[in-house]
Amino acid sequence: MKYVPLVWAAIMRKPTRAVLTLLSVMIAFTLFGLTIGMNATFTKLKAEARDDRLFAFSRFGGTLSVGMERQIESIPGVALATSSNNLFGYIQDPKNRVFVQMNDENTAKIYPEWPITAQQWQMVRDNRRGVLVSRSQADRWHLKVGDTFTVIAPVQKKADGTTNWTLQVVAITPDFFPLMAGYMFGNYDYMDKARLLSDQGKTGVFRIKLSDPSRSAAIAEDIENKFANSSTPLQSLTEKAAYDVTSNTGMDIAAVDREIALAGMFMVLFLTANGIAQAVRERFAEFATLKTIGFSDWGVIGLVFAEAAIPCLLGAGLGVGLAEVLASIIPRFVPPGQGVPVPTMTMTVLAWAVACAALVALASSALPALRLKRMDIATALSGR
Amino acid sequence: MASAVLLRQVVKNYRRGKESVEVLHGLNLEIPEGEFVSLMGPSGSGKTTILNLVGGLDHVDSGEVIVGGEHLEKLSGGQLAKWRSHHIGFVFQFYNLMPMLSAAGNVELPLLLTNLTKAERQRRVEVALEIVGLKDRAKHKPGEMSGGQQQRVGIARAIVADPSILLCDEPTGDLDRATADEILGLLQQLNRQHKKTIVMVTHDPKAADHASRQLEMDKGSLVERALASA
Repeated sequence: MKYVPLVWAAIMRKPTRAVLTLLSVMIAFTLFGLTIGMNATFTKLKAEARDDRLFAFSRFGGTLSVGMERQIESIPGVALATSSNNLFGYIQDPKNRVFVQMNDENTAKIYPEWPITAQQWQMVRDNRRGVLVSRSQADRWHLKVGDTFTVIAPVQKKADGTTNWTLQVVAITPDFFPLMAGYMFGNYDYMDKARLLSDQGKTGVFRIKLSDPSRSAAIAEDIENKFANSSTPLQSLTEKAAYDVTSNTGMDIAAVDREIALAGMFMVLFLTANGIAQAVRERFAEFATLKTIGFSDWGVIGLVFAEAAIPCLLGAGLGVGLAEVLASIIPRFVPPGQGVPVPTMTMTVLAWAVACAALVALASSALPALRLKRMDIATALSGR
Repeated sequence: MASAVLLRQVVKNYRRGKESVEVLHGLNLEIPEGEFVSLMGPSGSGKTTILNLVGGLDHVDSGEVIVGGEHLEKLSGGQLAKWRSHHIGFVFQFYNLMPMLSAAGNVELPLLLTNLTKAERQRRVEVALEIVGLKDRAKHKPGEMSGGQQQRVGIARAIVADPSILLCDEPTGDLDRATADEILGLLQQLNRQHKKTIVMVTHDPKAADHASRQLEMDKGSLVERALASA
């Protein structure tokens, strides 16, 4: 601790340079935090996804008849299937985008882990226009229980020709992973019966609960086979596979994230290495003085490392902090209920940032340290 | 009186490109404890080389350098650094202060290498600054002080760890006459009252007159100069 004032004074000797370096490091670590945080989300998503649930949707796009639900339930190993539709629209202004997931009564049985009570689900059943609004969405739209609001859904016309969908908040419910942007859950039956006759009895996706998760792959194949020759062939996959972004998208998004973070780290490395090399070059005679009065090689090297490490570690902390703030803001700009992944700021992300910052400080101070170790004190003092 | 500094048959060569230049060839020097010695001579004669050898900043090519009973030629770089921190105080021509630290911060630097508490370090810094007459300028940075004051801070830094030997390389070379006399008076005071052995390199005969013994480098050898007061 006794060396801190010495190191701090050295850093603040060029305040503008110090502040700009810190800002650059902070921005790089913000990017690092967001990308590694996104990977943390993908990892958590994959870890929490279950094998006893399947999704089935149209292989070639478009909607599916809800009648298929009963046929799917008849397949051995399937416990239950549910239909749902999504209401895409906005509140008052097109920029206030919302997304209401309209679920049927089986949803609660398929997703028992969701923090929604049977009583709250029942409220939606009892009030056809009722919606469960998550805490974050309620805060965002200033909604409270009993409030009525209108979602304007331009592409989802009602039978009366209007596109205004009036909903009423029946309960405010907790937010949960992976719906990090919050959610609104409405009544599928209300939406189905209110829309154009041609649109009724249709669903976008079937969510399927399995009674035998060990056969999930075979059951998915059975579902696909059952509808292979129908007018709407299905594609079916487990929740685990659906949430695995790598197999899902055909590209290793986690690796892309890591590479972006790595690019940021190299930027910080070059920036810090240049800054510390310049600082040592400018103060070479001062380091010679320190060695003259008794500082050892390693003592001086330690000072240089600390001079590189302080902005790196401070920048890492501030950067991850800023990433956390941004991660908490991002859901506000994402329509709720779509499950758009948002970076998860965990202690692991912070630990990675600190480890990378220390590594960058070590690498950036290596060459100046070597130069100081090889310093001929007498020559350095003479200014030659 | 015991020897503070003893150089025996010291040879030191420097390389200038492909050429080897012998600066000291078989030099012998003995400085008893408590002596104030000035070293004079033309540029390049080897005065600073002697100071560097005595301070453990440079190594001999052959011969012995014994300072405070320690054979410096046998010590490693790390051992020399530790030894310097305990036994030697350096005073430089251009002060070599850290511009971003206050006077007190500069003076405290050698004490950072000790296990002293913060309070004890502060106490010693105050004493050192008081000796050089700068107690009231402790919080001033070098840029806020005159050359003479900066050199006083440099001297305070040199004495704060209570070394037995002070090595001064042209300590008044950057100062006007009046200020130089003040600094030289301070060095005399440290020699007489605080019993410091002082080796001072200087080009200035008037500065050398403040020493109790004057030596002059002449073609790689040392010759005694008669004291002006003698």
